[in-house]
Amino acid sequence: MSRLIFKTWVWGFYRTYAGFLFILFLLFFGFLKGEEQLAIAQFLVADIKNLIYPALAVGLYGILLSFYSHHFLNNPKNRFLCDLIYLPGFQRLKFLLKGIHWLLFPATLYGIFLFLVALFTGSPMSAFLVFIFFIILKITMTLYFDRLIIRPGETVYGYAWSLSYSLGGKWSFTGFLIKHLILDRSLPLILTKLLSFLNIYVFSILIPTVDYLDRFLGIALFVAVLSNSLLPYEIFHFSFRRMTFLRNLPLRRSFIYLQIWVTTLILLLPEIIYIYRNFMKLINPIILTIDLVAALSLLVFLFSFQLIFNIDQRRFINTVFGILICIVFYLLFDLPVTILFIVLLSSSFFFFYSYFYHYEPEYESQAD
Amino acid sequence: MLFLKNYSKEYNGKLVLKAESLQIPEGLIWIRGVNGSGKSTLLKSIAGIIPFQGDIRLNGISLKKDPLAIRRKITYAEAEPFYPEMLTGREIIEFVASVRGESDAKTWELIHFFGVDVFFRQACGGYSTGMLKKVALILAFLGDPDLILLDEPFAFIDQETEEKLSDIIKTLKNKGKSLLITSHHEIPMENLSFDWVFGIRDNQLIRI
Repeated sequence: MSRLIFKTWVWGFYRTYAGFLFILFLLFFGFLKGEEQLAIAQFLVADIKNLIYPALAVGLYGILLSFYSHHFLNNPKNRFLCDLIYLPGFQRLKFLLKGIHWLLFPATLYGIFLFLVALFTGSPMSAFLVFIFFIILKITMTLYFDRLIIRPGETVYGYAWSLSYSLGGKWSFTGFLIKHLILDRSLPLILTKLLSFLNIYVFSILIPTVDYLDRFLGIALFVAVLSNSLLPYEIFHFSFRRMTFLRNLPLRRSFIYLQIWVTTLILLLPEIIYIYRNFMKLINPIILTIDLVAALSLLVFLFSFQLIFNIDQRRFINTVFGILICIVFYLLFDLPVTILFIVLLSSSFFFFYSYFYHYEPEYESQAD
Repeated sequence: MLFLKNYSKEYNGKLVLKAESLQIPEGLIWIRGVNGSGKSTLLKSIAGIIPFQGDIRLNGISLKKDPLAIRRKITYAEAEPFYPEMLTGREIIEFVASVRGESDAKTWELIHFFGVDVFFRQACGGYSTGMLKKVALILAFLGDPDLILLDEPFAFIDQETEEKLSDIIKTLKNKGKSLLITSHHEIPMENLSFDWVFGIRDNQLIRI
């Protein structure tokens, strides 16, 4: 039984987020030296207030895992796993806990690392809190997964489509997208923003240790984009596909492209304001603006990419990671950001313009 | 047996099916309806795998209040089943049989009965729709359910399996089990003597 859960649920999770975990691994073990990693861990356990950062990061990992599992168990392919309900309560929970142990394995390893650092640097309270946090996390996740198995069809969100139609005017599409993402998809948006700010914050902590600030900021920005990379996917799959009437309206493609651009800009505004406020004094504002526009162009490029290939979420995430790894290496070799900016901006527009009418939305059957 | 109280199911604000107050008695029951009328939606609701408005009760127990108790008494075979491509039919059948506490003898009897042993060591990714359907039917008959839900059971299977399926349905009926079957196929259904027939008209579930 365990083997089957491992082959489907556990490996499915690692396969889906292979790119994400690879980036984390690359950033942590490729970008930072051993003593820097130890210094960060010591900083985190030195004061119990600092433990909020790893707690937030592991919490987000847990939420990511919860979303994946909800999606996984609602997939008709995997529904037979819900037959675990036939097991007696204790045996079922024990079984789920075993699965969760493997699903949370990378986070648990880091937790053990923090626990040991706290123990050997004379912070027993921090060590105790790390230990308690992981125990609570595992118990909570086990109970949540048990609920998912008992009530697999439970939905998380309600729909707010009608609100969007009340908007009028030329910019209704922008309004529709923003309202949809804020109201209808509020939880993924909140998580996206938390992850994005966490990434930027971690980078801002590391700034005093970095010699090449321009390159470092470029990578920081693209990591912020990475955190937001599911936004174009959300816009495309949950809004754009249903807006088929757009093609009958007297709106030019370039105008719709502009609206998607503005939507992306508005959605990334909190990060942009934060970055400008914190980095303005450290870096040339022109370079900062070029970096920002290039990062935004990448998001719009990902939207155009969906118009051409219309791939599923797993492939989309892998593609995003592939592109970002190329960009990180491009920046590491100190190649000019201006060229990257021109390529991303022009290709996003070119693909959008070329494929706007080529794309045919699919309609999923709802009832049989 | 089953009682639907203020039941309704909507997709994106569009009503698919409703039943204000409807009793579905024990026995062999046929739910008729054209494609897209909401037959599968009804079965998925009863199986507790999709959310809905109102309540469904099985022998007085509410599905909303105690889903665990109800779902342990119901098995469900989907109209068009899918399983993870990397798993073999044998792994899936053995997993389900093991969690439901089914004996090896009965499991193997079903495997031989449906002729699944010919291909069940291969990964599901290479199965045809008919082969997947046979696996789904075996899973529905494993364990000791009070109610068996079969969604379009005669679709995609060959004539020999159709006859075998009719036999197993008759046997289970004689043993006092309740079966709720949806189908728009007329011919194989004529072989079975249904106790009750329900239909879906104008999104409303009614007794015919």
